[in-house]
Amino acid sequence: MKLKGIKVDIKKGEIKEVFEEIPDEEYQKRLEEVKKAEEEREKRRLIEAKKQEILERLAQEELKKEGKL
Amino acid sequence: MSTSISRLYNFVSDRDAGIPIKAQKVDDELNQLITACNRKVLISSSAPSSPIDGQTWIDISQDPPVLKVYDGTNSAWKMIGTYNILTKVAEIDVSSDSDYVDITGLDGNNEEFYILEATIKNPTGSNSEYHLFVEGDTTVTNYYNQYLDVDGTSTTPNRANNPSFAYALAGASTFAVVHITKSPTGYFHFTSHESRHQDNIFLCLRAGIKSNATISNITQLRIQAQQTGGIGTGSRFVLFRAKIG
Repeated sequence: MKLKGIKVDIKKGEIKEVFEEIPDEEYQKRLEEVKKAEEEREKRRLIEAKKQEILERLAQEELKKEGKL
Repeated sequence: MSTSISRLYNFVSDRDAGIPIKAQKVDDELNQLITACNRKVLISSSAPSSPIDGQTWIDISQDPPVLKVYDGTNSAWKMIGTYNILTKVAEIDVSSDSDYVDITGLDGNNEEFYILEATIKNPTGSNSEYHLFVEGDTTVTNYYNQYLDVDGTSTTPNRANNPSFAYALAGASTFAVVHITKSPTGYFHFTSHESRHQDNIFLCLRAGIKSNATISNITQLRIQAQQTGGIGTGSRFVLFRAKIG
């Protein structure tokens, strides 16, 4: 797999387009990591959203009991 | 300073009717003038020799020039005030979709820290993380980041085994300000404040580290999209170095 990059050398003041070849297995591994990270992110988001929903409901019930809502 | 007999009475003051002026008085006044001259700002690419406490110097060996003052107590030139605390060292406008950006020629040991402003457009059809690697170590699992996503009243904290500093949804953009440094214990650290366009506005705060080993310096950084071509045309990176005298 060929990756396309930009290389900046601040000492020389140079900027150029570069390419980097990585083995297909390495590229597949990266894709797997991306998928795994995305799944983990979505799982955490769902859990936190559910926690928030439950806490919100409990808070409202408590406040109603206390006559504050 | 002692004054020899031969140096006495060399000068006569017209104002005081021929009263002789001792060489000692001339020496003292010349010394005062020399001291005053030394205190003037010197513009040079090398440090003035035999500096005195409080002397100023504009060092033009750097671009832009740096204003320095001599600290006689510690025998060192110090940058002063707010002058030149931040210097822009790289500005990259991405003109075609790319996978990574390498920034080389850095010298973290001689800077306080770096600030990266990253405006990234994700042109792909998938969400993309953006990773920040140091010293050529692109092994994702050698890094950790702790993040806090804030979406309206919902927050999602998590720790991930990668050096992600930003995240953009498919076809959307993100803006992150990243502070980068090497800790006194030798570890690569960064913090990121991210403003993301995700349906509405979305905030993400992150702390990142290369946790498997220390580094001796920060000489190169790599910004890498986790989706192929994930650094889209129109993305922009500006790197500043912070140097406090």
